[in-house]
Order: sequence, then C-alpha cells, then structure tokens
Amino acid sequence: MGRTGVFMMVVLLLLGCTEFPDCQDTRYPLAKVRFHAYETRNVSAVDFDSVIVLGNDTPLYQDTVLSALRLRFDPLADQSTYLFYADSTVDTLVLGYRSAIAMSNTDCGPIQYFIDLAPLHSSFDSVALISTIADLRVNTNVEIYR
Amino acid sequence: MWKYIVSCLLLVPAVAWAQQPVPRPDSVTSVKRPKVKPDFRPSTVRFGTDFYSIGNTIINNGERTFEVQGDIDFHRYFATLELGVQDTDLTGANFEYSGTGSYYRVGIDMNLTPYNQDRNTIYLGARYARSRFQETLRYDASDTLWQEVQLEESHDGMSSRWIEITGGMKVRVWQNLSMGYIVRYKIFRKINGVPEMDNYIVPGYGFARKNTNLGFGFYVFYRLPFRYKAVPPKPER
Repeated sequence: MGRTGVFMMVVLLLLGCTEFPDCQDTRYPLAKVRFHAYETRNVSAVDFDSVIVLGNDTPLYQDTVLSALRLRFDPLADQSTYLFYADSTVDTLVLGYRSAIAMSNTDCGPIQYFIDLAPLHSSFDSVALISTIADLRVNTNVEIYR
Repeated sequence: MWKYIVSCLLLVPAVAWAQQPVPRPDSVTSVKRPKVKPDFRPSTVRFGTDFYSIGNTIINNGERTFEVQGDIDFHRYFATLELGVQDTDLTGANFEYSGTGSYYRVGIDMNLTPYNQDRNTIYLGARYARSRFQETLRYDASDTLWQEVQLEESHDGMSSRWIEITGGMKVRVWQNLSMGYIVRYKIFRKINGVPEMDNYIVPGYGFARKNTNLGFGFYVFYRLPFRYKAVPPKPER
C-alpha cells in the first residue's frame, strides 16, 4: 500500500468531515403556559372562548378546552399582554422578555429567540415562573393558578 | 467538483514524497557517526499562502478569506505566525448576513522528519489564535400573525480566542518552492463581546456555535535561506 495509499486514505477521511446543515435549533418564539386549579394545585383544563395577544386581532386560540397553551410573543416588543376570555370573564397576563436574532445556518436561515421571560403582571390568583427561556425542550415556562 | 481538485492537489506532495530515493548503505561495514549537537540557530524563513482559502473564495461567492503564513526554524522546531482576513456575506429569502474580521495564530511545529535531505517535513504542532470581528444580521420575520417585522442586529468589537492542535506535511516540489497541507483541530473557543449574542462565524475559527472545529489548509511556500545549515545526519540506532 505504501505512503501514498495511507496519505490518500487520510485525505478521504478528512473530506468526510465537511460541514452539513443542522437545522435542529430548539429555540422557538412561543411561551408555554400551563393552567392549574388554585385549590388543588392539579393541572386543570379551561374552556376558553378566545385567547388573544394585545396588538393583534387574530386570536391565538378560539373555543377550545385546554390545560396548556403556547403563546406567541410580540417580536418587536419587550413584553406581550395576553387576554384570556373564559367563563364570561377576562384575565390578563403580561410577560416580559428579551429577544435576539441569530443565524441558525445558511440553509435554515435565522431565528428569533426569547430569553429572560418573566411574568410582569397577572389578574390570575397566582402565577409561577418555571423557565425563563423559550425552548422546545422546556415543558413549561409559566404555571397559572386560577 | 472542488473536493476532487483539492484531492488532486493534495496528491502532489504525497507523490513527491513517495518518489524520494530510498538511501542504501554504501558498504557492508557501517561507520559510526559522531553525535552532532543540535543547532538551534535559525537558518531559513518560509512564507506561504493558503490556496484552499483562495479556491474557496473563488468558488464560494459569499466567503472571502486570505491567509498568509511564515515560519522560522530552530533545530527541529518551527516558530509559526499566521495572519488572515475573512469576510462573509450570505443572503437568503428572508435574511442578509454580513461578517468581517481578521485573525492571527502563533505557535510551534515539531518536525518529525528532521533528517530528510530535501527538508520535507511531517509535523505536529499547536497554535494560539485570536480573532476580532463584527457581524450584522437583517431578518424579515413577517408571518401570518405578525406582519411587517423587520429585525436587525449588529455587533461590533467582538473578539474570540482558541487553541489549535495541528498536523501536516510540507514537501519541496521545485527549488525553494514547497507545498503541503495542514489539518487543524480547534478547541477551547471563547468569545468576548456581547454575552448573549449568538455569533455565527468567527473568522479563522468557523462556526461559532461549535465548541470544537476542524480546519484544513493547502499551502504553497517559498523558502528563503539566510544561513547555511546542513541537514543533520540520522543518528544510528
């Protein structure tokens, strides 16, 4: 085989190390909120008439029964106000955050990601911050007790 | 196609190396050579440029890299300095990215074949590298819910440092001209600047989000001897 053969094998191995696109970025522009019963602390489904984010007419949810919601952030602001219409009442939740953009890679393009999530105001009985980053791997960002 | 061109170029030094005459003993009786003290006084500087980067610049419209390297010998060691500039412009359906910066690497290579009469070398080495750069990203994040969302982020004065473990070969192809390749394993990357900034490309390092990177270079060198120094004879075992 000789030196040349060994050299060629090394070169072929190295060319196998070429970069390939990796679009598996787990950050995403949604906050996960989960509803709990205030008395029992158990997860509790809520019959929502609608859920909207202030500044946008399109409802995030409409006529649905859910215990967990994914809430879109206002991409140009540092806080979003959500209105929850259920059982003839309206509750509000204001979430603060910081956002930034980053290139995922050339093929996948950029992403906007959100960090430092914090509930700034709420009309619910109680809210608890579970995770401060919006990420697919995070199960819950905010727990709401009502 | 570029990979095949690179492969063919890489074969040139390998074939040149393989065609060296194998030294044969002149006589049956072996003569014991006197032990030669290592001469650490430098005798040669070598300048080169990375043709892999130049080829990549020609083929890849979005990336422009130019790198030069120089080294000087100290016995079987080479003190090495590498300087480079890199610009990256990427455009997609909803984004524009531009990055620009410069970098340098300093380090030492150890010649594993110090007795080669053609001064061909197979070497292992290490580098300390630093880079300064800036990035700008424009992103059209408009969607069905939020319309007309134009985002832009720009970060100046970023810097980065890392360590490289290197290995490669340099082979004389004609008179003082030599060529060879280098493989770099880049580790211990640290980025300074905006703490939460998610950088994309660090000039000289590659993709910033990777904690380790592999690099490759194909250099053409010109050797400039300024003092005669004989290749030391191979000691007998």
